[in-house]
Amino acid sequence: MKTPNEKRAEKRISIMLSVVDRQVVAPNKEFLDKLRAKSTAEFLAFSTDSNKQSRETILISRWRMIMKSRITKLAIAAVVIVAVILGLNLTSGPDLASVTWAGMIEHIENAKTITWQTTSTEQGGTTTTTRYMVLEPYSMRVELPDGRVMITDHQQERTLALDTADKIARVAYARPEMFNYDDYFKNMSLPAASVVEIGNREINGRQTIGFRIERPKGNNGTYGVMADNEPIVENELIFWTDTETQLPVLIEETSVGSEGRTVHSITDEIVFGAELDEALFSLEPPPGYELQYNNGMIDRMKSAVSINKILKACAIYDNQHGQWPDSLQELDLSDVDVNRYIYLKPSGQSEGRMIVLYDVYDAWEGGTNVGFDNYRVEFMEDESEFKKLLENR
Amino acid sequence: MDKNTEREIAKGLRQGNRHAWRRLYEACAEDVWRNVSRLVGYDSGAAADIVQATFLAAARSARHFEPNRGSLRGWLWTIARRQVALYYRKQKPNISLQQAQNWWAALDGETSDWIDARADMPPDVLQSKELATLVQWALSELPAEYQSLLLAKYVDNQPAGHIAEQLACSEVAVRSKLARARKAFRKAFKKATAFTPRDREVSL
Repeated sequence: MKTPNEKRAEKRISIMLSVVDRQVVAPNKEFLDKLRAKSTAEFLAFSTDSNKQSRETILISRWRMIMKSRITKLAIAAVVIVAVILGLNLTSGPDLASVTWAGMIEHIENAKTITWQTTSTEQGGTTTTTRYMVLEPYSMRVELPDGRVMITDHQQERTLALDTADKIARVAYARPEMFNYDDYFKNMSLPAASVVEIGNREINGRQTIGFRIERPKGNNGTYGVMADNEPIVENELIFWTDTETQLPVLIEETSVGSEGRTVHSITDEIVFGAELDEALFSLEPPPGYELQYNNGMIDRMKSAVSINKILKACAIYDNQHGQWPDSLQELDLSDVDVNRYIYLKPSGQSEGRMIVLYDVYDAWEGGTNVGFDNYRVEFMEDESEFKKLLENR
Repeated sequence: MDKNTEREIAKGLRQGNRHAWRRLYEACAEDVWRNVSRLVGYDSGAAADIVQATFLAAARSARHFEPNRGSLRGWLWTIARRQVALYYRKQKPNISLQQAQNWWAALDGETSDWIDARADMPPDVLQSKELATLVQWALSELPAEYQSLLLAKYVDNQPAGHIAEQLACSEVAVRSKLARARKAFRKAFKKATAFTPRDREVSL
């Protein structure tokens, strides 16, 4: 039973909160109708396993192009860890039974900057350390073990790669959702995970609580792949969180590959809200660097994004008309040059391997971007497979 | 949305069923718009941007929604809350908030007693747009669950039983969470009004 004081306090809160209703703008029906179609297309595009695999493949492929050495490939593992850090809040939901866990997630959500380092050790092999800095909402800087630096600005959709040894700066296209922790990982569900408290431990004089993240395996029965595509069959991820500050102090991850390879990663020196010089995230090459553009890759990535846009527009069209358009000219696409693509209206049933769209090409130079009837995009390198799929339509 | 409907939709989302997505959208889109609008005020462009970002992000991750971890509405609002927080973070500097803080600091009266209901809040204060700005800011600082509970109970005037059904929990749990949410709101409001404009510039 509430006391009179409590009732009065509740009434006051009620009165204060009701003022926000004075400023409500009525829902814009036209906007919501368009968003219904747009979000349905987005839902369909992200609801196929093959699409998800395709996106991961593109992501890893792109890193490969930039980071060719085996040492730097280990950095990918750290990216996955951070994806988990930042994705868990929506995936599993904070375990409200644990104040520390809930507090940690809240801190992570509200931090404007995050910096950390990840040291990865391969059993019987090398140990490497990579440093990361995130400046929300758009920028990220990765300092690789071999001295190279990657700076990505997601608003400008550009990545600057600095080769500090040879003083060469390369600019590449960054797909909006790639490595954009703000818009991608924080809102993107990872496979459902649960959080289990595993007890206390003192780390560098700080009292911490351990949380083990228990993730189910993906549809293909693995936890993903290592840098060289070896499937991960065992995975353990533990957060050690400061009981006082409710911030993560240490993150341990151990992955075992299907061929027995083990990689152990320690993420520490995790700092939230540090003052970071915005110059660290500038896409301007530092003085003394030679600037090189990788136009081929930029074009290829841009084309993949355009195909993706066309496919989404097709999905919207399909929603509204019950069939795909007869030609791309029927679509509402002012920012895409549809003339550079060959469109083949899908007919009959397929299992998501029917080619519906591809880049016009004169000669097969390493591959081409291809759009499929399940709304995914793939960069096909094998010309004979491409032609076979075309013939089988 | 009752429990059975929610279960059906969640199952459909996992299977990539477009009708499930549409049912979710129809059930929640206007509510999300309304609550976002309550938090960002007259700026309908901002409300539209936030609602769009919310539903596109939700569409990308809907397939992995786990019903045993909470309600669909709660999950959607968690995404929306994050977008609202980003909106506020990008307001540099937040002129209207600074003006509201100056206005509050210049008020003649025991303002903390007003918040704690030890004295009545003058009608002109209650009618002011500055109070609305401060309330919006304080709300935007709260966790998603507290935001949706406070708006449902005190702005939409929904009974606790109805809220419990929406959130798939008991009425006792709703009342207990509401008590915590009210406390958190008072704290956030006091924090908002304790800032001097200079403090706020630094924190932004």
